[in-house]
Amino acid sequence: MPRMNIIQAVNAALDHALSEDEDVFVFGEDVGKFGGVFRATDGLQDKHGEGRVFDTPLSESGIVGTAIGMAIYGLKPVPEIQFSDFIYPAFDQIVSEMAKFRYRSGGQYPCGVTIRTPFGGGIRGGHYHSQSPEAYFAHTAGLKVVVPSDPYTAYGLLLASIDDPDPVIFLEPKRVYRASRADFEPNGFRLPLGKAAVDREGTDVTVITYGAMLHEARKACDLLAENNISAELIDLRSLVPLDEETILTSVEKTGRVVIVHEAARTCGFGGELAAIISEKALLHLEAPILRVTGYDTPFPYTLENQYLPDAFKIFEAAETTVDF
Amino acid sequence: MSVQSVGDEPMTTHDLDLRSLHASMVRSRVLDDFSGELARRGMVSLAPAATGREGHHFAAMSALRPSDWLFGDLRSSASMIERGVSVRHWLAQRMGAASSAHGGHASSAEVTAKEANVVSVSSLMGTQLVHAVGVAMGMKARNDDSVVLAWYGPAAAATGDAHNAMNFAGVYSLPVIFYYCSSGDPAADALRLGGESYADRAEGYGIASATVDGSDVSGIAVEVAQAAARARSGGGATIIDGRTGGDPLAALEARLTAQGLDVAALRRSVATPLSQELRDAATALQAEGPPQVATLFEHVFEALDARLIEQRDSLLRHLKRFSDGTVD
Repeated sequence: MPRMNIIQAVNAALDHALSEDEDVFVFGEDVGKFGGVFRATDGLQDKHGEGRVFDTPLSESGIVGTAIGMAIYGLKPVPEIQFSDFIYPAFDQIVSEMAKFRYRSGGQYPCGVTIRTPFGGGIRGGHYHSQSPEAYFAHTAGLKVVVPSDPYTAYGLLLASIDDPDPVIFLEPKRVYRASRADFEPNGFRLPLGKAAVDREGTDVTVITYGAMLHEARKACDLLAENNISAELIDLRSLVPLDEETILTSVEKTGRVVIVHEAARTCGFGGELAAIISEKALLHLEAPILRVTGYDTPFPYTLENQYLPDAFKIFEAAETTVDF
Repeated sequence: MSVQSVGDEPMTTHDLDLRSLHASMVRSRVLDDFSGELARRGMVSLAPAATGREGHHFAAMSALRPSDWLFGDLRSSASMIERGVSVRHWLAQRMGAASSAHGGHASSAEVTAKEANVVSVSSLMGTQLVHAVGVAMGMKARNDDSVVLAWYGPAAAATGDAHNAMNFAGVYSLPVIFYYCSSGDPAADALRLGGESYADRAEGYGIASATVDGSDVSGIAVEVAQAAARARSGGGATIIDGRTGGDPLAALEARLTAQGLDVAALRRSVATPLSQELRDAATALQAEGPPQVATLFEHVFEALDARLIEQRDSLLRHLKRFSDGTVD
């Protein structure tokens, strides 16, 4: 059973999809000959040919618009946006076209594009290589938003996203691209979209997170355990569709919630989670729902570790809910 | 009157049927007039007319195959009728009727006819040009010898996506025809485009170009046939700079009159039954009533997720409670 990091898992999933289905195409800036700036597509052009894995001009709107055309023609394009910070030139194509094609055509033109893009900070990338744009896309009807946290979920969720007949924004946690490792057989398995994982069971407080923050939250759970606080940790895996059942079941058990994400707080996805919990589990709550998030500043360069949530911030928030 | 294809295509003679073209143009005018009438009555939203552009639309289509894909803009909706879609089907979409192909999800100019290879139209400017490139990319990848034609005007030509589309089409040598239709007002066009010749842009992208006069249907058919043949034979994209000036219908009628035809009679033979058909269809579509409320939530995704089911059920419960317009 091979040991893989997230880059290798993404590469293995793309390799599997390209081998399994001739409708799959992989393209983007430097993904072909060079194999991607993070090497996620390394070797795929050599193996599958320049017709299936190719480089594009530096134009995100061109990349996504082309992918939309390929999808409505009946193919399964998997474009890469090199950093999610670069996705905004394609925002119009994503929000106004990709997300609406099925709806405005009454189902005649589904648009099964899977946009892969690395997101998040912690790599000394500054504000143009570190941001977390998930809330913009979760807010847009017609898009699915999928966020793996480790190699196993990256592999299974990416294949499920490519299978999906609707557009998916697939956000890869680049901070743990190489640091997160797992042993599994890349045999083409799929993980269902819309199914969260209870990463760790607990009884005092529920910590809800996704992406790279799962790893900080695990450390926080260890710290909490050392202080006799039993935390349940939920890895959402996909924001749209959202697994409300897993969230509410946990909240009904613990009565306390801490939501963790890197993105800025205001109108972040944590606000949506807090609202859902308030609407559906208010009487189970023992304390206010707390959020540990990035701040409402542009993403900083030198002070990024102060900007980002970490195990101690999560620990402190969980402790606050327990002491409320 | 004949048009010869070039390139690797077998040499074929394409008979440009002027009477058929005349019927298409008259039909388009009637559809425009009827849309305008419905708009004044509040039954149709934004639906700009094709008037003046009919040569660009129908002479171009006469040089294409039914399997070729069409990307239109807000003015080109009659292209689906040209490809055999029924008037009622077209009008249902214009009116957002329950039985329309999009079920009332799209606004009046955002028509769709997959069976006619007429792609869902967006109200946004220029975005469709990149989609045309993507479809052409798919055709090339699948060795499908179809081509894509996209009509657009000066507003779309000014967008970043117009550049993106032409850049990609040039880089990958794709089977797509970018058919630019000027507005007919040179001063207005000059406010959107720097150069006088839109066709000159093609050189910078490494793609072919042609300039046509919107009133010269034969010239349009020749250039589109050549562009299509070039695209089918792997020669890549073409920009057609469609100048819009005079009245293409009047120009065509002058030719038909010179051939001894009674154009007024020809016009009546199309317009009279079509007007009646439109009135009947509008009455029938109005009688359908609006789409079922639950359809609001359909086609967001292939299947409704739990959240959409919850929102749908909540709305239906709410409407049921307040159905008599009172708070009890």
